[in-house]
Amino acid sequence: MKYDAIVIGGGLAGCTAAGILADAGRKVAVFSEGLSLHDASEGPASHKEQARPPYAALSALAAKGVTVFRGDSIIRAEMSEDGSQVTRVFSRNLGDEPLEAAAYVLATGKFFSRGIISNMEGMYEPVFDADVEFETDHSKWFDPDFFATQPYEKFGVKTDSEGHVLKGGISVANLFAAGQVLAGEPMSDSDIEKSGRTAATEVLKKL
Amino acid sequence: MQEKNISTANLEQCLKCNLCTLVCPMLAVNEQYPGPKKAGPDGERYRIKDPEYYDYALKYCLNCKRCEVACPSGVKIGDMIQAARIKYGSQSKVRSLHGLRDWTLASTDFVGGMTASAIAPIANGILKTGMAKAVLHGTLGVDKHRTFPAYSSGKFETWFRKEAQAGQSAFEKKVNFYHGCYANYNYPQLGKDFVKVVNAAGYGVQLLEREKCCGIALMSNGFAAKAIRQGKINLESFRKAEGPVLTVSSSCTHMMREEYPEVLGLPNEDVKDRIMLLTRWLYPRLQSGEIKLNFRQDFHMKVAYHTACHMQRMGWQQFTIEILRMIPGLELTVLEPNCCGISGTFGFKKENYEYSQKIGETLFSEIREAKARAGDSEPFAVATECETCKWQIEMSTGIPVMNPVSIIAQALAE
Amino acid sequence: MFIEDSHKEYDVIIIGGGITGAATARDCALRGLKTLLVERGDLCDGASGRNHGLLHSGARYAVTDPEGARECISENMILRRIASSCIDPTGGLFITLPEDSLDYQEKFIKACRDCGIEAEAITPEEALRLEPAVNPKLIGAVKVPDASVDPFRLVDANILDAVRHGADIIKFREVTGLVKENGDVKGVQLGDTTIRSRQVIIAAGIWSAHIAEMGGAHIDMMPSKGSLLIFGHRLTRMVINRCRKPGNADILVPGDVVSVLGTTSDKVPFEDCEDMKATSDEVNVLLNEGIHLVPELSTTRIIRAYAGVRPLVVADSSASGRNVSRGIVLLDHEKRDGIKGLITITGGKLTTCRLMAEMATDLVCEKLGLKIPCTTARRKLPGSEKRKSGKDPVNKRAAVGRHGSEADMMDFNGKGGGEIICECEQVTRAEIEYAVRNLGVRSISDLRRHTRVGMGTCQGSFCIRRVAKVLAEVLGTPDKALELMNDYLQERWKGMSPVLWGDTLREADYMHKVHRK
Repeated sequence: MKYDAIVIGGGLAGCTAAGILADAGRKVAVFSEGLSLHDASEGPASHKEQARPPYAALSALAAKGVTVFRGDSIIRAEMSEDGSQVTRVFSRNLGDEPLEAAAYVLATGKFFSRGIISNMEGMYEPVFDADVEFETDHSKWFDPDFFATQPYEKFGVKTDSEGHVLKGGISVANLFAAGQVLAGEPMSDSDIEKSGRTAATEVLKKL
Repeated sequence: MQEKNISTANLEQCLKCNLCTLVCPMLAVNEQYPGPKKAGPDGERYRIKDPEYYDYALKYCLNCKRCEVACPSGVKIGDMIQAARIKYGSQSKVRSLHGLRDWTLASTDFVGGMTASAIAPIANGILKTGMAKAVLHGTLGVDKHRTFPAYSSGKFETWFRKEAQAGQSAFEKKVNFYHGCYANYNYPQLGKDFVKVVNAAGYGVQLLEREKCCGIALMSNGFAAKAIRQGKINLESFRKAEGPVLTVSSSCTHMMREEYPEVLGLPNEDVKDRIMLLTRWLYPRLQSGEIKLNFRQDFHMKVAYHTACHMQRMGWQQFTIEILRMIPGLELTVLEPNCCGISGTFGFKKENYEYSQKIGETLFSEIREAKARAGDSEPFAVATECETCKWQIEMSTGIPVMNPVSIIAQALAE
Repeated sequence: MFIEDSHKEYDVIIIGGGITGAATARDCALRGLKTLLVERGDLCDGASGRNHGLLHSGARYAVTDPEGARECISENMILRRIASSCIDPTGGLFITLPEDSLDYQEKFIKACRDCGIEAEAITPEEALRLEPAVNPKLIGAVKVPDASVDPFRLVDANILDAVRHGADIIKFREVTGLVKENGDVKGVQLGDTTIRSRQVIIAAGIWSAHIAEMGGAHIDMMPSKGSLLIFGHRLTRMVINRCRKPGNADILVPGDVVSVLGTTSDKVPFEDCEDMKATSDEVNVLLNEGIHLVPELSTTRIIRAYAGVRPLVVADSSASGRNVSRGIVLLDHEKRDGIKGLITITGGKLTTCRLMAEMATDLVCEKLGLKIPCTTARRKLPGSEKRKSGKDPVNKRAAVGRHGSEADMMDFNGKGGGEIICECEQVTRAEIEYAVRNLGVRSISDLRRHTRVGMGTCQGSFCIRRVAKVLAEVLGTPDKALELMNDYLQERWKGMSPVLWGDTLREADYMHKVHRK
């Protein structure tokens, strides 16, 4: 299946980016592995206290003509020989069906949404194996004060100055990252939306 | 790489975020149901400690897998609940009246085999009468609003052997057809449509050496042992058959691909990738140009596509949608993926009728709106791969529902 | 009852609300003594709440300490009778791995039998059938009557029985001094409050040395730190031990709905005892060793790491924690140091708590010139009384599992009583109300010890706001909810941070996102 852009992650950053791309008339697909925390309106509320339908953001995209793959995620990617381009990606549900796009947006979030996976040895980004910035000394991942900003929250995917994701130190020209998957200070909701908009702008330039 | 997480115990990957709870259609209408998180991973920790913690309210789980689709942690919540029902819930007995009802509903191939025959007109006639419905409602507990799906007076298999098999030898390449109970006993036309489409694609059709009901209804009605026996027979047939095993029903397909290993403990890794819906097989071949289908130029139809729950879980709706979009003269609307509420045999039981209808209401009103928008100038149908969704939507809205395979077959140029 | 302060004069004051103090308070109260127990924090706050929860059969000590082993098996059998609601009779398995020796297994079986501990050798195949999760490389296995015991519930049951027999309990007040007259101890000082008694029993675990010092006695104690890991669910049905000389991480106990792996053993300075936490290095040691017992531990979620301190009394100058006496130490300070009115009971094990209490209470009675027999071995503890058979409603089952017959005192039919507040551990409002009313709960951490609130997989991520709200209401201080919640989150963080990777980091990420506003 072919699209102008494939957005990986249906959270706030991914939906923001996909919405802008769709509004610009582009053919967009969004892969959303499960719901995002933004779909639970008030954090850990019981279902009765839920104010809006959980799929509101994705449904709005679908209404704009975006192809939404609920409950599916991109599990691997193929790169051009020099590593500067993503050539195609594959999802868990679609199996061997190749998914191609001119540009890709990585908006998979951090640990909660498994955009970054951590283990005893370190951290990695599971779709592209993009470069992840993190502290190797595990005891420096946290602050003893629960309420402090935690060092682990700043770990994430590395990008160059134009927002291209780095992989093996090389800028991937058609892969952009948005939202909390990025390394850096923890983001507020408006930061995340802004990051989604920035990525969409870069993608539109590319297209 | 995603799989290389720390915990391989699926229940523990649950972070208790409760996003599954937000999407559970049963929980929204029935407070007796604990919801997917409590019924699944929460309950499982306690059931491991002591089976006494099993909660009989788990019977309300529709097995729609919407919880799994919503889970950001990849927890197989629905499978866990089904497995718990088998492991800890009491297995059904045919002896009681409700047990007999459940057995009748579950044994789709046995009852179908008996009924889809010369006695079909009689059986259908009887099942439609008010008196029969009252008896079923009062004694067996089959809801009076339901009409048993009509049994055909001839099985698909019989037709195939008599009318179509000989012609298949003309094709060099072949696919295997797992027709399922519905196409065999209730609506052989679907099987005929399958053959028509596959033949038009340049492939021949062959039946499996042995085919049993996939067992989904047995599994959800407490007859797991029988479901396992049938599953083994099917898998054995798939192993013997070469090439793809194509299907027309989303629930059978999901059952044989996902629930055989996860719920019934039947390993299927060696054949899983070969079991798929026709559209899943067809789309990439149409894309690559290996297969070309010639569609009628005078075809006109407005179609609202409904993603059945198990279709959504497999994530294959896009294959069907893309093919339907290739048909000239077909105007497609994709409905929001909401549950119709029938959940196989669940909604046939009178104690569940109201839950079923309440759950389906959102979908029904969207379908009614789509129909109103479409007007009456052209034929309108809902398309879905699930036969029980079909019965439910037709009963609840009066709007015809077709399997996409039948729509494709109708659109083919002769 | 639970009181804030007291001006009564008591026969006996017990310092320490761990298992030793609780069992002693019960024994004293049952013998009709006017009893007060003083605890500076919450019940079970020290080593009693930071251990494996293993009801030893004695097998582990049979080779090295036969006397201790005999005490264990005898008390094991008694506790099964009187504290059935706190005990899960899982049985235990001692497995021999290829790097261990079958000669040791033979020696072990003989030693067990000599101590009166049933020890049955089974084949590796049989062991794997019983426990599919144990290391399949095992070459031998022995079945013993180990069991899992809930230390929190055992303390609570003893306290409840003590209270119901007239004992007073003061929590959250620290003993600042001992009342001394002519060199004899006549009571305790809680800041400005003086409470007089005829006898004082120190049952303060590792802090006993410090309190004895206030009375002028010196006890040479050695804090030995033990770290443990909690895994998300039960991996085995039985307690799994390594059949070799006791070492690190060689016991896995299925406790309630989790598995507990431990322990390490390291000498630590006294200053460290106030804030015990497991380190990343200890976590590594535990995991690297633990996977030999049950390989699946390497791919099972760790909920948290924690550490306790064993109150070991130095009997010789040996420096290693594991060989110093873990036997029961009863000190008659009148005889030993010439200080009348002061007794210390320490050392021992969770399993031998009742015996320790009996020994201490016997001594108190002797000092008071009383001849009252001990009845603790035959009277059932609250919660362990026989219940009417029949199925409990679903929302009550977890409470019955935890509190046994005491669950029948919880008001499940009252307004909102049956509502589940903590979903992982299925704690209802009724159970919270019960704990506040009967066990002097003030904080969510207290509530956790008495109900398992927030002890589950999510460590409170999802429910803690609701728990805080309900607890604040029940305590009558609805405006304190946020404070209760924040204290609890900080406390949980201590145990989560040493294992902060994989699913635990995911949980932390979730917790920070929703609770740190």
